[in-house]
Amino acid sequence: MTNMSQTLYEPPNVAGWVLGQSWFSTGAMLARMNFASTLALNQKFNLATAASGAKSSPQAVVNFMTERLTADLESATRNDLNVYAAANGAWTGSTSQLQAKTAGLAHLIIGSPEYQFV
Amino acid sequence: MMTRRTFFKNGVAAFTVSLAAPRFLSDLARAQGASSRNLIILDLSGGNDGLSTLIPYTDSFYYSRRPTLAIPAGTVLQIGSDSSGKALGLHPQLTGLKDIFNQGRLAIVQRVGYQNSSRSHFTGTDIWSTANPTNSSESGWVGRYLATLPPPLDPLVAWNTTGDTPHALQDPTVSVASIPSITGYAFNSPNSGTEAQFEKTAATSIASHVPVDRPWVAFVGSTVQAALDTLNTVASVGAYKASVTYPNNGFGQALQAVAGAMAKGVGTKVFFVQTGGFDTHASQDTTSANGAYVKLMSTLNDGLTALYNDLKNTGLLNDTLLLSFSEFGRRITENGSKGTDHGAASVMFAMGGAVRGGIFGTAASLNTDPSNPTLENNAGDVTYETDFRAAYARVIDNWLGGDSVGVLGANFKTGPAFV
Repeated sequence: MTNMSQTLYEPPNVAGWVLGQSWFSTGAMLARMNFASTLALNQKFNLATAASGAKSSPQAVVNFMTERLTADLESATRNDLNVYAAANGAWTGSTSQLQAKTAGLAHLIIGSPEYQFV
Repeated sequence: MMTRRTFFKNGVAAFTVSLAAPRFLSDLARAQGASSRNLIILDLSGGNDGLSTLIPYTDSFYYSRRPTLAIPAGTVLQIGSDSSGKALGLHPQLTGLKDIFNQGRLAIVQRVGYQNSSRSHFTGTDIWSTANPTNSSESGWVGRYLATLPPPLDPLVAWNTTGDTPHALQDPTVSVASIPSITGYAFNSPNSGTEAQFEKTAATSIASHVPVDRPWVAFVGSTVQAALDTLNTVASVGAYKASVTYPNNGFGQALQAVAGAMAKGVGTKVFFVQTGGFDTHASQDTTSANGAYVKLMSTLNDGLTALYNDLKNTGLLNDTLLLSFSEFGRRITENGSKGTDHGAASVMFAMGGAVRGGIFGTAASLNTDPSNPTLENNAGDVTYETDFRAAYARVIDNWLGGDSVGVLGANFKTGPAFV
């Protein structure tokens, strides 16, 4: 939370946190993306278990993840996710592959511009 | 109901995609001899008690109105008198700044402020940031200056060492890099190796989309793009080996990053640093070893002294100007909690190799007579003598080579000649 400038109970001054554009600084966005990365890393095993019913294809995994992490994604973004899911070797649906892709997708979706407005 | 998110959407919708230049274009601009002068804005957040920073140690009212907070005349660091003949001394912790003052590279401007000074942290900071006491919601004065530079702007043209973009740097057409920590300014991944590489490629592509019907999404995307674009350059700054040891606190480390960015020549023109805790309503304690204000002053002194010496050693001091501000000064009479409440005018520092050092402006007389012209609010607060925008104008015109009338919206070319 501190990295995202949101240390609990410690606003910058008694006026509290300011509204507006300043929340989307480069540093704050990286911190949020990295926060998403840490979350995804810690939940790798659970994510893969949850998505095991969707292991038939990379696209099925993308659909599974985007249905659960509901953001109004641009079609171009969805396309990027599909490209990512299918990258790095042939799809086997193995547990290690599922772990890598579900965590990577969670990171990408939560870190996407669209997700910041969910 | 106006939720936080609708506010974001409405607010951000007004902004076009910020335009960060591709790396090679900025390299080109620098190769063509773009000026390497830079400006460091220092925010003393919370409202600094100027009367404890620069002490009128011969004013008997200073002692009678501050029975527990006045600093004994014998301990202040005397720096001479101002043009009105008032003797002044720095807070005892400011030993390094006194040396810099003696070298003629520190200017102290007294009684800087504006009419009807706001007592709100929020509004006060907005006013100092926008340089507009009547409409404090517009873009920041530094942002507006940067927007006048010929495009393309370097993606690191403005380097903020805090987490959120400070209002002073905000402008719809200027991308500000917020780098609270150099090591944290990285793209992490839950995976490693090629898998992580594929993720980064995907993230870069996702950030590049410009949905025209949702400009706020495009705005956030452009921010992410700017961040990803500058990762390697920022990492190189982390490798900077300073010539002095900076204090191991947030302020000291932020200043080290600033010096590193200058030394590596990453193209930054404006830096923003902050040190907080100046909202000393209770137990301000200006004299004990662990007193609240003593610690504020030692943090300030140790950080700025390290920066000054480092830049001097590396030959970058002549390219550097540091300007401090705080949202307001504090009341003259101490309160019942051995602290001071929100006041009006306060002191401003300017430090750098090209600074004309000295004491500018005149000190207030702290006489409680309600007709005392240097005080206001029934002699409760220090009245401003130098409009803060006149100090900004000086910096814009004489240091940055800009047009202060255009940036500030009016002619304030009457400022103290500290640069």
